[in-house]
Amino acid sequence: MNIVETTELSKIYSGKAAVNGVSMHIPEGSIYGFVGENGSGKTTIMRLLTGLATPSKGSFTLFGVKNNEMKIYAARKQISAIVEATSLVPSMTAIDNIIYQENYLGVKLKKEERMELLKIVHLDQTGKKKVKNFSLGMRQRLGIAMALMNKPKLMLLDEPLNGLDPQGIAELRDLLIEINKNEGITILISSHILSELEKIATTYGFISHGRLIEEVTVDELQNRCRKSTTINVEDVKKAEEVITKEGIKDYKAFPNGDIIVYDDIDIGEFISNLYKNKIKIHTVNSSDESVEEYYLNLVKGE
Amino acid sequence: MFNLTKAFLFKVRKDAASKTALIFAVALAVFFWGLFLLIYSKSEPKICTGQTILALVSTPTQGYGLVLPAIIATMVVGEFSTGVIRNKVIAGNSKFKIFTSLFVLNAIYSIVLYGICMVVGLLLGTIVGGFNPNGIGVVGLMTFMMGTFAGELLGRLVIMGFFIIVMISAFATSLATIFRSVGPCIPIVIISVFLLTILSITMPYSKGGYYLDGLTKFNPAFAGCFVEREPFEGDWYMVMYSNLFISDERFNWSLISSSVYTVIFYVVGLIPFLKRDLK
Repeated sequence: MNIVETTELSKIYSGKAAVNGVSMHIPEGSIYGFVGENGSGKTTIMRLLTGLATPSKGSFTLFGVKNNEMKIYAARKQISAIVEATSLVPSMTAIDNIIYQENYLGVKLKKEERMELLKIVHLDQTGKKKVKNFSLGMRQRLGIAMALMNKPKLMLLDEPLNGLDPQGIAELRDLLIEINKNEGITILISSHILSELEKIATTYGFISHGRLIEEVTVDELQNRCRKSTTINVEDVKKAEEVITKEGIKDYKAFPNGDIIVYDDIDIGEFISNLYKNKIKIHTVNSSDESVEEYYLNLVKGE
Repeated sequence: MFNLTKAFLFKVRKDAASKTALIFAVALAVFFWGLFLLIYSKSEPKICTGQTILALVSTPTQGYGLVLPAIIATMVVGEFSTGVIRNKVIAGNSKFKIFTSLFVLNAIYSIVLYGICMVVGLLLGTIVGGFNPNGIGVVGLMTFMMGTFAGELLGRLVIMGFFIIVMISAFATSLATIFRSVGPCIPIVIISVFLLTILSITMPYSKGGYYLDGLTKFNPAFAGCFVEREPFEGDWYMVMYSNLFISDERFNWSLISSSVYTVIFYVVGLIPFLKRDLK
């Protein structure tokens, strides 16, 4: 089941489309990595989903509730979000900010639960220090703690890794994986640090110039990005026999003649063996892409 | 709505802006009291009494009414700039509820602050000069002794004051919601309140300006202004004298006009808030 679905969603500012006919699908329980350049429309989509902006065209559903239904307010109570910047009252302490948010969320936490939240993000020792004296990373972490407060079913995180040091990034990454697995929270996360996104995302949405170019699962993407050798042969069955004889285990064969070999092989020797077995080879390609390279290749033509 | 009210009350307790507002309310009452004490300390009969100070701080457009807009506007703009409004929307509150709660709670908060200002003024004045020891009227200092306790006048002044304070709070809330920035908002609202006061004082002075009589009905601050035109037509000479009472007509028009303005400000603030995206 998809927890979020958009249909031809568009947002137009001064005649220019910031989001242009986006149809995206966020599966329940996934960590959806939102990848796109600055101004590609990632934040605008999050703003539309959270009600901060209204769509110019198209629609979306949250937990199956359409955006123009009155029930959308109740549906939004199941989400939490950090969009653009963490929203905190600077003249209050971390704990006071949590209590303040509890009030308008209609949530009542125990003292220990509040401390537990702060402990998760390593802010339990901040005491009476006001938020205005926090570093950017501390504010970011407090925002995450506050986003976890209402035990949401969906979290929307816009560049949450910004301003965090390497240790902070690693901790937040682990935290997101943990809450996704243990609490079953679906996460929509955008980040410029694709190497980090690669470590946590289970589904990707690639967006450029307001248009969603591709939506892929991590398995699909891995298949596309893994170091592999793709050979297109005339007789797939015969080629498979040779491959098995060679002791190659990790490969996939397709009816169109493509065989993708993921094992580390000596390409020259492999081709030579196929040739010896009179298997006609049409093409041979090697690939070794990261998500970043994959994305860059994807948007090259945009 | 209940959750938003709880959040507002918590913020009032914890936030620096609301603490400053409270300090202003007390400081203003102390200021008026101190000023009167200084000027009229030796006057006989006593002028600096509980009744006088209460009447003084009860005139909303001349006292707290000028401080309040800055406080309310700062608080509302703060809600936008810190992203609290954004959080409230994300938390599943409708924009209608958010604006209405902000509007109503600001009005209530303004009444409370105004009330604190009045109580402090009344107490300080009474401690020094008694509430009404020599029968000095509320505005005896302006012209002459009234000789009696002006209960009805005081009562009407306070009620009108509350209505006007709500109207000023509404004006500040709406402007702050529209501009979402303290910069243009505070000067506009303070100048507007100041103009309201100036108009209420100058209206009766216009030569043969009876056409202004109608306009006075639309100025809620007018009824609380202790000035009336000398009823000699064609004469520039006007006499300032104190009213022993505020007429029913003046009083009613003040309440009606301030209520109508409050509703207008609510609508004027609400519509753009519903239509515009939040940053």
